[in-house]
Amino acid sequence: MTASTNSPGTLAPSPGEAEDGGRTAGPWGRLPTWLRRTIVFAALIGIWQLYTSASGVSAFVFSGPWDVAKALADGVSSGDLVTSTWTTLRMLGTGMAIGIALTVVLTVLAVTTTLGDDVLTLVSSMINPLPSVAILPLAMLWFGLTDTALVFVTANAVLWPMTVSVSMGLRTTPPTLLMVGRNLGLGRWRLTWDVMMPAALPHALAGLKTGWAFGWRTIIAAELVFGAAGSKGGLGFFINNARYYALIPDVFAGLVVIALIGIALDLVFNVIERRTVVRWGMKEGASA
Amino acid sequence: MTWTSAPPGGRPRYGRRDVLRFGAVGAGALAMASACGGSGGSGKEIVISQGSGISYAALIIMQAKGWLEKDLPGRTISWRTVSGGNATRDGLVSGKLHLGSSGLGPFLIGWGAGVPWKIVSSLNDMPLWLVAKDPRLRGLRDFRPADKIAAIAPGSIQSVMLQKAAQQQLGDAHALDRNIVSMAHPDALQALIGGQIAAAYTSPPFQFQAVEQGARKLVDSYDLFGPHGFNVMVATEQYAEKNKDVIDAVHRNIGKANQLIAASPDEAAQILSKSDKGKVSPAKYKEYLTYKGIEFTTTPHALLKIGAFMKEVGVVKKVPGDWRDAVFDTVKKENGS
Repeated sequence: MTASTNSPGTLAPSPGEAEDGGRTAGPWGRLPTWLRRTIVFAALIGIWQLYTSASGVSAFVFSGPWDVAKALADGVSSGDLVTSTWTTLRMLGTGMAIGIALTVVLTVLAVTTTLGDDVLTLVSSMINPLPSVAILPLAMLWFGLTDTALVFVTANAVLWPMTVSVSMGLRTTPPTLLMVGRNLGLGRWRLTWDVMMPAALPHALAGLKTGWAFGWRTIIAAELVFGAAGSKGGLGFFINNARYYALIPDVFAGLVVIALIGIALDLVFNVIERRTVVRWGMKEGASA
Repeated sequence: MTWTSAPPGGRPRYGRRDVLRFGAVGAGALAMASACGGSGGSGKEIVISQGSGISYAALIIMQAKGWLEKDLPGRTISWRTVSGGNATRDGLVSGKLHLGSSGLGPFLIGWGAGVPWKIVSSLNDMPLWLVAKDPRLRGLRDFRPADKIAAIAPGSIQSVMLQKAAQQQLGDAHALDRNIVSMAHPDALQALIGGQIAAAYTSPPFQFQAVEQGARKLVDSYDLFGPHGFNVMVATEQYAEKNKDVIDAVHRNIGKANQLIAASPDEAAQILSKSDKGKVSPAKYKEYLTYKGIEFTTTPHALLKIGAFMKEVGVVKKVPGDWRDAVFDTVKKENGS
């Protein structure tokens, strides 16, 4: 769980990390990264267990790691947790797909036409600071308590941070590349598609990362708001339900799943970055 | 400032920043620990939760008349409005509340999960209705997965009634579990009339108001269990032990308020209407208070019957063997069930 608060890249071992940032390499620092992380992780679990068994905190306020592990295993074997996770991921996927498609359309319009640029700058600066969950009441009014409302809110959460970074990427395309493109006689569309888009890839990937993080937080929060998640309950519903039935280990199990998915998806994005923009030398090592 | 930087080649020493870092972690852990701990206490302030609706009429009358303040000199009493028994449970367990109201559903769930709470007094017996507005919905069979039903929360007394009705009409008590959305009664009424939800399982007077505005009754809880208790006042064992005078006073004054409602419903209706600033007229309140089947009583009824059903469908694992196991001495001598 602590790992999710670390910057994702640092999960992977990277050579020479012990020396960076002015930190000194003591005996602890000379241990391999995976070993250090495992020890810290085990220690945290130990403290957690110690706290629950020694402090006498009541079981319906705080659950120990053992109970949580049991609840996790029960939830997976009964299928409840798997169904809920799948429901949430499916809605997140739909929301993100819509968000990404709209981002591409909007940013291309913005770089190819001046009017599009004005509109996008104005709209995204107005909507971007708005937490997407804040429009959930409106979405429920428009779409009812359905999947559509949640997908709408998620797409909205993904769209604006992504357009901001992608249009930033398109705008900061090195002028040399653009001039070379023009010299080759590329038209506006091919210039956008073949020169500017690849040049904006690092920003686009960073935008995707921010976008998914916003979307993920938004959909969980949205599910929690009314304990409703369309026709089938997602993870937020699972947590809420467990709370109502006083099954506190299940609440913790739901949180663990959310954190694990967060870590897993962050790792996926890191791998994508390493395979593309880092390898092509467009960005300093993503994992350093 | 030399001591803040690590000596070259030597053992790393802790600099000021490290101290700050550890300090921050420690403070965070302490804050968490203290936030989780602490319940009960016997301070001067008594914080009591109540919900919305005429189920809390006795509490509203008590507040208007200042009876508790009179019986408990030297204590200050403050009231919080919550959406349901789950909120009361969270408040009692975290020590933010001392007494609170809960429907029988959340009470039994908490009791079964080991929350050390018991009933100080019942508030009333009331019929609870499932109401729907869409003419397509004639029975539970007509509900599709997208048709949302507001029922306070999963596990609420309303959702238990829905499960009983689903068991009778559909053969599966959990058939409509995923249709349940969590909404407070006033929001549910508004959402039902506005068409955002298909049906609402609420309580008096919201169910009556829904029917006045064109909704139909689909389920009546009295048909499922017979007359049964609805809301109860609860406290933790720890608090009740240290504050016997408080729970006695609360129980006694609920009884007193119930007598007032029975003897002079006009005066009770006046007080209720005044408490919501005249949104509902005294005449309407009198009609609601005296509705057939509503009884204001301190005695918990049908606790065991409802508990047995909840155990049967797997909502709780443990139920009280005797209704007296779940109540304080305040109501033990009464004729409960």
